[in-house]
Amino acid sequence: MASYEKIDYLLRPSKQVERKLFIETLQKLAKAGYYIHDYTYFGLGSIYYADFILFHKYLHIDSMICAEIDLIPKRMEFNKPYEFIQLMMEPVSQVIPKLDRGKKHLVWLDYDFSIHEGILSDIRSCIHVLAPGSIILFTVVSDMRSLMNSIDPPEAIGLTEEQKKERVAPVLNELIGIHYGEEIKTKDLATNRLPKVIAKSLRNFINSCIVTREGLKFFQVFNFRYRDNLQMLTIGGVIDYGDSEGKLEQSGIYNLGFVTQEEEPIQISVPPLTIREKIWLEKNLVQLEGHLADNCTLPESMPFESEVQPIKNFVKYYRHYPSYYETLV
Amino acid sequence: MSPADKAESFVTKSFLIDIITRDIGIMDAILELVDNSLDRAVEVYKIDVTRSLTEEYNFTGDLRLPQPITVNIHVSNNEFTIEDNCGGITRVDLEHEVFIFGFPKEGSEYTGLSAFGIGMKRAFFKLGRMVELRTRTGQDETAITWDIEEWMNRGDEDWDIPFSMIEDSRLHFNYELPGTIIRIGNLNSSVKTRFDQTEFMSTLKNRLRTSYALFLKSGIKIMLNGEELTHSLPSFFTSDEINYTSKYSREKDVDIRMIVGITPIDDRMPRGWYVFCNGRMVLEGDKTHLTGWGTILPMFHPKFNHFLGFVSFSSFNVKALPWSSTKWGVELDSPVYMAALEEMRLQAVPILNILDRWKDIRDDDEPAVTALRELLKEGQTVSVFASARVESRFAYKPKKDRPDVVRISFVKDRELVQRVKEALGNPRMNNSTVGGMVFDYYVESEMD
Repeated sequence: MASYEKIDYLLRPSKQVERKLFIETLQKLAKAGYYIHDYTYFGLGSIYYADFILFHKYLHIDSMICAEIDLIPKRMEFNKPYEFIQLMMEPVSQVIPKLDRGKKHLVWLDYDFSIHEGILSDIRSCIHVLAPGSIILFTVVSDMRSLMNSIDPPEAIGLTEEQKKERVAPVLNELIGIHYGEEIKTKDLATNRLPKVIAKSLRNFINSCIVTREGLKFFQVFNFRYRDNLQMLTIGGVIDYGDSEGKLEQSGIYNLGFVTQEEEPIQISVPPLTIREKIWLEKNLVQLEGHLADNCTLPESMPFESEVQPIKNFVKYYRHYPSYYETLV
Repeated sequence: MSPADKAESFVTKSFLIDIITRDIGIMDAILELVDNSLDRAVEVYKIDVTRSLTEEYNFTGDLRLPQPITVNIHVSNNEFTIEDNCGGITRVDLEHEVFIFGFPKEGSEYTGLSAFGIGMKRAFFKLGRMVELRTRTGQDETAITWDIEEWMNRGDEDWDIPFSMIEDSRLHFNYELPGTIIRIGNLNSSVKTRFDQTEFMSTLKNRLRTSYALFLKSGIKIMLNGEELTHSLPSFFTSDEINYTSKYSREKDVDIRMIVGITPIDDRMPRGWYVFCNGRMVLEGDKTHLTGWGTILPMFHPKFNHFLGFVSFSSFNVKALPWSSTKWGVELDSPVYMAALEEMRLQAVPILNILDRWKDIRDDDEPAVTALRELLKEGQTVSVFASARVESRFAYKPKKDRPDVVRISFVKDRELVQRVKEALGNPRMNNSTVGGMVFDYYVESEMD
C-alpha cells in the first residue's frame, strides 16, 4: 500500500512540525543571502502536495518539480494545486540528471521506507548535480520493524522475528557500515540509538560524496527524529562553498534550538492531541515550561495522561503544531 | 683510502628495464609504438580526431595530402616492423629528447598521445633486443641501430646511443611523405610465442580497430600484415520508447563527451564502458571498479550486458588526461576522472535500474530478458559518431500496452502438487498451470 493510502499527510502532527521548522529556518537563511524564493523545489508530493503548498505559501517558491513513480498520473495531475508544478512521472534517479545545474534547488526526498542502495544512490546523484547554495533534506524511515521487513528475500524466508532482528545489523553494516565508521551492533538498533546510527552514516556519506565537487562543503543544519507512526529521521543542510560558514552564522539559524551540527538527532515528536488538550497546554505553557525545567515528570495539575517527552516537545514547538478541524466543502 | 662523505645512489640499466617493462603487456607495447607514430601526425598536421565525433571529419581531404597518413605494422615470428609517414623525428629531437627516459614534452599545442616520455623505450625493451630506426623529416634524416645487449654490457655509466650511417641502414622508406621506420629483431622469447598464436593476432587486430577507431574514422590508415583495418565500435539503440544520453562537459582544461545508453538486440557482447583519451581508447568494455562497478555502481552482472557507456576525454594538456602510464587503464585519483566518474554514474543509474527491472523475467527455458527483447524489437541503431553529434537526454517512455510482468518460480512437494492438480480437476495439468491457478486463487480470494 502506498503511504498516501494510509494516512492523510496533513494529519501527521510531527511531520507537520518538521515542515514548519524547515520553513522557519529557510526564512532566516533567505535573509542571509540564500534567496529561497528564487530556488526550485524538488520533492515527492504524493497526491496531497502538502510540502508544495506550504513552501509556496510561506517561502514564495514558484518553481517546483514533483516526482512520482506510482502509476497514478491522472490523480497526480488532478490534485496538483498549482499550474507551475512540473509533474514528472519518473523515478527520482531519472529526474535528478535532468535538474538544471545552473539553478539553486531546495530538495526534499521524503522517503516512506528505510535506507537502501537506491536512497544512497539518489543522495549521491543530488550531491553531484546541485548548484552551490542548494539545500538538501533527506528523510528515511528509521525504525527496527521497517528494517526487518526490508531484508531481501530469499534471505528473509523462513526466518523467525528474532532471527530477522539479528540479520538487521549485518545487513546495515554491509550497506552503511563503512560510512558509520565502526561496526553496527544489534544494541545500536534500539529505538533511541538507531536514528543516530543512520544520521551519522548519512552525513559521513554526504561528506564523502561532496569531495568530487571542488571547493564545496556540506553544512549540516537539520538532524531530526520524530514519530507519527513509524520513527523517521531527517538529515539536511546546505551545499555551498567552503567559506560559507560566516554567512550561515550571520543568518542566525544556529540560535534556533532545533538546528544542530551534531551527530545526535533532535527529537521533534509531538503528541497527537485533542483540541481540548491542545488548548489546555497552550493556556498553561509558562507554568509547564517552568515545571519541566526542574522536574522530569509532568505536573500533578495535568488533567490528562501523557508521556513526558512529547509534552516537552509540544512546549518547544507549540507554534508549529497544526490545528485540524473538519471542513465541509 | 679516506672515508667517503656521501652515499652512492644511481639507477642500473637492468633494474630500469626490469621495472618499466613489468606492468606493460606485449599488446600495449605495440600500441605504444602506434601512439608514437600517431602523436607525430597529430602534431605535424594539427589533427584533432575527437572532431570525428561531432562532425564529418577527414583531415586527409582537408589538408590535400598526396597520400593518406598511414601506420603500417608487420608482425612475424622473428621481427616486428612499424613504418609510418607521420612526419618523422628531427635529428635535434633524437639527440636531446627521444631517448631520454622520462622526458615528456611540456605545454604542447595539440591533442597528443605522448604523455609520459617512456612509452617507446619501454616498448623496445618489451619486444626485443635489437632496434633499428630510420627517420626523415622535411629537413633531415637519421638512422640508429641500438643493440640493447651490447648497450647493457657497456655498464651503467655510459647510456648514450650512437647514430649510425644512413648508407648502412637496412631500412628503406616506402612512403612519399616523411616518416619513421622501426624494426625490432632478436625478439624476446615470450614475444615470439605470442606472435605465433592466431588468437593473439586476432586480438591485436581487434584492439587496433577499437583503440584507434577515432583515428581511422578521421582518415588515418592502419595496416596490419598487409590488411587495411576499419574502425569498430559498438552502437547505441534508440526508439520512441527509450533513448540514450549524449552530453558534453568541460572539467579543468579537459573536454568530456559522454554517451550512455543500451546496445541493439543483435549486439550479443557484454558491453560496459569505453573510455578514450585524445582519441585513443584506454578502456574497452570495462566492467571493473575502474569505471565504478562494485563501488559507486552495482557489481557488473549479465543483466547489464546491454549497457553501453562511451566517454571521450580530450585536451592539449596531455598530463591532465586520466590515462594510466601504460595507456591501458585510467588514473582513478585524477581530479578530472573523479568528477567524470560521478557524471558517468549519474547517467548510468537510470539505465541500470531499467535493465535491473527486467532481470526477473530470466528463466532457463525462456529466451532471456523477454521484456528487453520486446523493447529492442523496433528502433534504430545509432553509431557512436552519430549519437555524439547531437546532445540528447535519456528517456524511457514504455508504451502503455507493453506487458509488465514477472516470473515466479518455486519448489513444492511432488505428491502435494499432484493432489492440488486432482483437486483442480485435472491430474495431468502441467506444473506451471498449477502455480498460475494457485496464484489467481489467492488474488481472487484475498485481495481488495
